[in-house]
Amino acid sequence: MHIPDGYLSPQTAGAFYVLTAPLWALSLRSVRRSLRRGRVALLSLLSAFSFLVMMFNIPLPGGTTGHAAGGVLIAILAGPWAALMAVTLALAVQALFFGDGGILALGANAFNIGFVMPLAGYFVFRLLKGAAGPGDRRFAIAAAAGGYVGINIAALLVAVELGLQPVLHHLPDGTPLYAPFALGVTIPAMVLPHLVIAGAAEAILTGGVAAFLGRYHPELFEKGSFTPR
Amino acid sequence: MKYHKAWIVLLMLAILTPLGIIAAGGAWGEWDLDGVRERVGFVPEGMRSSASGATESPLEEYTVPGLDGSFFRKGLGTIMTAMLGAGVTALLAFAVARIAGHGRIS
Repeated sequence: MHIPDGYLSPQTAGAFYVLTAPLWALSLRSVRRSLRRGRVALLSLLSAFSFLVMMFNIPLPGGTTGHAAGGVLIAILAGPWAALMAVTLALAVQALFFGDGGILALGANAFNIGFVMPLAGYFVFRLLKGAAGPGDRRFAIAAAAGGYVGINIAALLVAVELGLQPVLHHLPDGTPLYAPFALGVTIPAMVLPHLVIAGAAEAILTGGVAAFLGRYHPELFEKGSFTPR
Repeated sequence: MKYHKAWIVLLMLAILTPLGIIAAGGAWGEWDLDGVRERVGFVPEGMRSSASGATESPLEEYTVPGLDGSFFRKGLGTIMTAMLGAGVTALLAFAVARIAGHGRIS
């Protein structure tokens, strides 16, 4: 799900930097607030967690691999804005040190994996959780559903971004200049394996950790401690 | 240290990362230029000029130069890159919080 450099045109990559910049600013503001509550260690911890989780590649149907991203879990624990910061930092290190994703594509990747995925998953979690408290079964199921929906929306988004490239940028004879596959190829290739396997992995991770922490550390979810109001 | 149990969990995750390199194949749509040529028949022009390659990191794809051959050696490299990457990411988060908070660290 990490778009590498070269797959998006410089215009598209630049547009995503412009789109994500104000979100980063809002995220920074939220980090400043959380700082006053003594949650810097948590932000640091969750950033490192995001980095590590994305190293666990699992085989997907079609001979490719995928991985969970942890963004929804981070959003449930610390809020979607903290999730954007944590995932962005992990993506930056992945791109700079390990050639995973890209530096030009960082805006797009942060938008997909750091913003849309955690926000969508968090929304689903809040919607399904209802009045359930940490430790309730419904709380964990809502978290799992959030993880599942979040990663799949992100996968669809990546597929659309890649699939639009040949439409936006091609030679007069139609030869693509950047990512070469059309939407009809990218969407099934990205979305189907995530619906079946990677989504399940994200659901198990998100639901499992939420269930464990909800049972043994319910204080993490108390009002005013972690989740933003 | 705050959340010391959680940090221990992260350390365990880092040690388990070689599990993540067992799966064959790479992610869809993340091929290098050779991989693109194989699948498309050619390398799109813009891709060739703007793709990374000129600035390849020595730790590309979470490997450590010299640590290859057996799964054990490769896995060792994976663990090293996991610890380095997670450590740098954690430090970056502290740095961002410090900048955001004008030096106040709790």
